[in-house]
Amino acid sequence: MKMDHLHAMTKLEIVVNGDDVAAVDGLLRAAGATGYTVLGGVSGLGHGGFHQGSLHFNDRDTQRMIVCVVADGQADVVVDALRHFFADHAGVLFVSPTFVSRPEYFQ
Amino acid sequence: MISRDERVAVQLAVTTAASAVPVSWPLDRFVAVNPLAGIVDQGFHRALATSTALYGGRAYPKADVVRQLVSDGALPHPRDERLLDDEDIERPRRATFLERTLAHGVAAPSEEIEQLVAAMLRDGAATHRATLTSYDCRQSAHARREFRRVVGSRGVNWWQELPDDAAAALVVSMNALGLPREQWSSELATQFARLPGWASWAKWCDQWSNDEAGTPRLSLVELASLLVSCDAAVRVTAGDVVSDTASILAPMEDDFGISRMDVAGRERLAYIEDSFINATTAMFVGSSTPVTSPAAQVVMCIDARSEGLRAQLEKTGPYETLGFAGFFGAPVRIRPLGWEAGYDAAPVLLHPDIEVEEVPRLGHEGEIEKWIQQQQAHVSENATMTDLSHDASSMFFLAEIAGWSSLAATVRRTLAPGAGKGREDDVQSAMDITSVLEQGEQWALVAETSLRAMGLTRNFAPLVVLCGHKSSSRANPHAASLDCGACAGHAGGANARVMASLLNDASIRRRLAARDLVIPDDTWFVAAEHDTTTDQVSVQEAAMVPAHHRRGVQRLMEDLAVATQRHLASRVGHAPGFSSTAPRAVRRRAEDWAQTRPEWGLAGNAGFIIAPRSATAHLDLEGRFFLHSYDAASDEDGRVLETILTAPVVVAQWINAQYYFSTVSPTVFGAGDKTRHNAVGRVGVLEGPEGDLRIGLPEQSIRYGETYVHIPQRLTCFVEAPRSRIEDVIARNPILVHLFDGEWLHLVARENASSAWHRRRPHGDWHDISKQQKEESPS
Repeated sequence: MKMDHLHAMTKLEIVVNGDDVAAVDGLLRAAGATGYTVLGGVSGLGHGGFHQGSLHFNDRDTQRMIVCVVADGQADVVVDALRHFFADHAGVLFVSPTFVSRPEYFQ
Repeated sequence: MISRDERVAVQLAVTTAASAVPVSWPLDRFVAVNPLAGIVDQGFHRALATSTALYGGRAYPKADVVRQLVSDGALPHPRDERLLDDEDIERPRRATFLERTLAHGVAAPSEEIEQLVAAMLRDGAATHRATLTSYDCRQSAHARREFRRVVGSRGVNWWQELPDDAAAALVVSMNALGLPREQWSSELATQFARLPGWASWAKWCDQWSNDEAGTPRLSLVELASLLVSCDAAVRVTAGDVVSDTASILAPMEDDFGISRMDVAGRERLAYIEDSFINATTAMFVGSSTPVTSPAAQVVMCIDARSEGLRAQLEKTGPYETLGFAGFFGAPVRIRPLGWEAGYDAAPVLLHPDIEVEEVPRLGHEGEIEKWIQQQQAHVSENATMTDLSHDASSMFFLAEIAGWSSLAATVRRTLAPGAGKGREDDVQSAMDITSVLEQGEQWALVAETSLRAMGLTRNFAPLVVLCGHKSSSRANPHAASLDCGACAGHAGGANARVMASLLNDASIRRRLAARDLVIPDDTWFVAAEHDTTTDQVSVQEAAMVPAHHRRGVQRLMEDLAVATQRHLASRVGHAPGFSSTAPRAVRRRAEDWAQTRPEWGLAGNAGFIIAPRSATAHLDLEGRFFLHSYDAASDEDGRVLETILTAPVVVAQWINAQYYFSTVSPTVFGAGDKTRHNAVGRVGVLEGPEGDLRIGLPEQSIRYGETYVHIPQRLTCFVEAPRSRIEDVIARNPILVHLFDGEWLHLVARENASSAWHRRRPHGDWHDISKQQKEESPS
């Protein structure tokens, strides 16, 4: 795979309750993120026990994963905000280096 | 401009501050909600302490509730006399930073600011602005003139020159106040508590709406910016007239202390609830024998208003009734005849991604077209009235503006309510479920889930009636609150039609059969709708019923008419204000636009029973219980119980909490006097011409004079299932851990009809209720 033309950026993977997606959206937008992807059906084991991926009649009380790619300069501020957010909200945040082919889409 | 860091910090502060802000849905889909749902993880008592420290008001029932129950014989005289006597004290809301930091003797003009901001937002909404911004409000010449009277020219000039961008204006304002960043979120929570009605609208816009047209958007950042900027203008004007620096910089402490009043109130609540749980579990004696070959199975909403009619129908003929969420498990958008856009017809916990259109039946296109034109003319005539009524300031001049064109209708509705009612039942339409059938496998799963969750998997009757519900009232801004909560504050007949069409479809039945769920060929699903105001039931799409089922439907309708009359008679005994059960009088009540209590809605709701109908069919439940059918024997993995607890119970808890808070703290969480309401578009109501939006339920939905029709108490779930299964379901769903361990709900359970009831305390601590009662009773 040719990696020559890829650009280094920061990937945030944020797992939150469905109810908190709007709040995270606000923080990402304020940080200048230009977009993100929301994945439903996220299940797994956490501090609060096992979290269901989906419920028949309730989309709000299941977990979602928000995947967002930002420039390195944006990452610091949004990570700091999310750390504060998680002080009183359930969820986890993973931060990792990533590469994209069209950096202008993410700034 | 502000830095990215400042912008994110403001957004974080606003998000954190908004946790304790209630959410209010638009009036045309007025969904009952727990106003403290955003802090449900704090647990009930702690959330109440947070709320009263912030908003003021009360947390627990007043002594007059207990006095009424004791006087009525519903409660024994308590041993502790404090439960019968309290001081009539309401806490004030938390003081703002400005109020705390102005020097002694200098009062902050808080009330003037709140009135002004509320008026600016009201006027913006009334002029159909798509978005309400702090910038637009500050540009209003009228607002500037009014604000100049409060802060003078220097303050208003500073205010007017704030940045256009709300977040930037907010940062400048907080800095002008001298507010340290670590106190931003605490101060913003206080600011939102100044106008909880508008804050709850902004929270809906930010967190729940889908950018839909027709409702003015207001963001929490804009609202915060507007409120804080006004305080900052006062601070700028006041100059050095502030108290000492130490006071300014002292972090604001949340008041989690429990006052003496709260201790008595908490004991009062426990007394009401313990008595209710003990009396209810003692009531569950014996069981009824299910009908072996029912002529029809009638599935009605779990809504407590269905229970009385179900009981009467069961006594009238060989019918089996079942309780299930009133959207019948069909999460769809409905686009009625002639509508340009659809509406979500599902619990707000779901996001329907499929639209079902109501279409003319084959051969009736011309007739329908004419009907649509008539309806559009009717809507157009009424839109004039509605648009005018959107502007609260114009309400008092409505008659003058509408003039002679509305006079005839006005006189007719005043003197002869009920006259001139349309013939909507005659419309020859059908629900086009083509879009649903295109996703056949997915919707077969939906159908299977619904049938299994309602316990309808075998022994199908020739007729299965899916009966949604609606209400009827005139000139009632809160009319949607009386419709089906499971259909997001809409009538449920459309959902019943969709699900009946689906379950009558041969391809879906084949798919269900492949899933070991066989619906006999001679079983027909019929859609119906129950009007909870008049208790009339109408069959939907009657013309679609096959010929060989028409006699059965006819007989069922005759028996339903008898059941309706008997149920109406029982309503006279159960709720004040209902003096006549004559159909004409009941209909007149529904059509009377001066009527503030067309029905009692869900006043009195107290319990949620998850059990076979045989456990309750012989009991008089007085319309106080949500009833969900459940057969534990056919749900060994607990998936059906999980569906019930994580959706219908959550919705019922919201309903119960709305009634609770509207009753115990009406000045904060209630909508006030209905006779003084003025609608601000679909946004909400004002009590009178000005002030904050009023959230929650009006007084007339809670009390009759000084008598409480709704008794404030937390919902109790009565579940017939193994306790180990219940614990498993709770453990794998954080929302249930919050609700049950946080004591937002009570939970009692028994394994089967012959076993003892056990009550769950937080963290799975179960106690045998009968043993506890024996230990507590004086021998």
